[in-house]
Amino acid sequence: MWFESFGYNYSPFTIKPLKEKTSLIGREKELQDALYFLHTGSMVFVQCEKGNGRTRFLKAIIDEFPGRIIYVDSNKLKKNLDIEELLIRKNGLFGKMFSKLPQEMILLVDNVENLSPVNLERLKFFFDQNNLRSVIFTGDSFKNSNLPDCIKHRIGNKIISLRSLSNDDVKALILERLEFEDGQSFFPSDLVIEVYQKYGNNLKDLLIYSELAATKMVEEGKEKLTSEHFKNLKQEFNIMKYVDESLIDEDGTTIVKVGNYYRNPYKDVFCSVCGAIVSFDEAVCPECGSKFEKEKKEKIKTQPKKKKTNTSKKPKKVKK
Amino acid sequence: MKTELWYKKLGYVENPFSIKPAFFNDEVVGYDAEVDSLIKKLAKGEVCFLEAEFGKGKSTIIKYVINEFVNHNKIIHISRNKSDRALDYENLLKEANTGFGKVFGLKAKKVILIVDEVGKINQKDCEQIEKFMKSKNIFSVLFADVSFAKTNLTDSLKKKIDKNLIKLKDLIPNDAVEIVKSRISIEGIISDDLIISIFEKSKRNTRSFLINLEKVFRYSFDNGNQKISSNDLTCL
Repeated sequence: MWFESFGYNYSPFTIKPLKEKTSLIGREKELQDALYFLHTGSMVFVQCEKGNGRTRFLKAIIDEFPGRIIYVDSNKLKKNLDIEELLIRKNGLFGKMFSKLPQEMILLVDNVENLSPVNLERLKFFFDQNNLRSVIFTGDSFKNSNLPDCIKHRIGNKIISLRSLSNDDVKALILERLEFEDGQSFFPSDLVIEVYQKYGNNLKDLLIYSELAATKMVEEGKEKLTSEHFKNLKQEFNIMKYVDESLIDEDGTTIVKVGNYYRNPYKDVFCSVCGAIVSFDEAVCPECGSKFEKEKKEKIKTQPKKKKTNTSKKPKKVKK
Repeated sequence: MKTELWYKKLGYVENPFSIKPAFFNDEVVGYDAEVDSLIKKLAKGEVCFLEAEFGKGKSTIIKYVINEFVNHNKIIHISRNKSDRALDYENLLKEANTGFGKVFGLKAKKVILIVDEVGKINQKDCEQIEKFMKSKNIFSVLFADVSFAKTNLTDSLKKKIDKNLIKLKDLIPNDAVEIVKSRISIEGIISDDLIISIFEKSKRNTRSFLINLEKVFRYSFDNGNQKISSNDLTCL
């Protein structure tokens, strides 16, 4: 792999927040606010565009509360999961044996837009009973979230907005990952900003495309990244093939990017226009309003399992 | 946490403005008449409905009621919105039982059933509740939600509720001062007038009031003040 020639054990452009060991740059005040709210027993909403570090932010919180935190990524939950069972399982052996809920735990719910209304009601009940001391939800926007009014009311004004990182923050972040002094790094700071802005000031995209560009750089036998390495990346690469295991799901399936979401085409039922999770009997996407084509369930069941990205222009549900 | 929490500076172990219902087992402020009426009706075996907007104190009153009856009756307290399907009340009654009754899988008797958030209640729920009321397993019932009119309770249950619909009125400013006094010692820290200002800015909603109180106190004490001034209300 390209990064081995630079002496790294894993890619410095990894997008796995839990693997990332660098400091939380540019969000120190927001982190202090979040920690305060968690100490005082609150429901909080962290709003941040996808790919701009909200999971990394939650990881920084986990580091502050070892042992007392339950982290849940709603994107990875099974549709019919009862979150009460999940909390019992996380309560250790005692909890599992006696089906006891924890007390005073802290719950972090990443990507709350994919959590079912019934599970949200359960969380509210457990919060009131103090099984959960505090809860943090993350999502794109509090105002447009699917949270029921009873939860929004409990959150009140405890909303933390993770602003876009400044250019200096982004430079510092990349430098820390590369463990180089500026000027010596193979990724010049000016180029970092040029690429960051090229990809809409989205951190995740910066990292993914930097990964691809670095692969190209090493294949060409070069030692420094230039703008040329970032040209035509989408056309040249099956974008998912060359990134690290970050974009491979636990079952080995390559995850595809649809709209602003990353989806597993074998597990998720999603709108092919915007990527929102939908249920199989919905006729219209609740997020973008696209109408779904009618499909026979039998036809879907007999389709052979093979990897393909969903390139259909017409909105349709995809299920394997 | 880098800075000391504001309430620890004041000598409190926990956030005194916690929004968790009855977190400090405090008295219910401003609703004495409603709570007394509710307790009397439940003690007589009636079916009641507690109606109030979010954050007015339904869950706090429910906790107070549970504390009143817990030494005399078995209590089942559920949130109906936790499930899309009708609940299994027979199982709930068995779970509520204790001792040999529980060992032999018998249903508890004279249970007070408290159903919070009844939005998803359906006919099957209602039929089960009425069945177990007839068999004396359920002694009395308290439903709670934002609106009685919008629930799916059966006509039969609605008729049983009849005059037992208890609506929580808006609290008055003096109640707001009492709430704060029940949580912290306010002498020299915050004036009654400022408390009432925060209460009005919170649209007289108890939960919003507690959230705003916390915000003002945090803002003021984190800025090194020793008491709350009108300037601190700019953070709202």
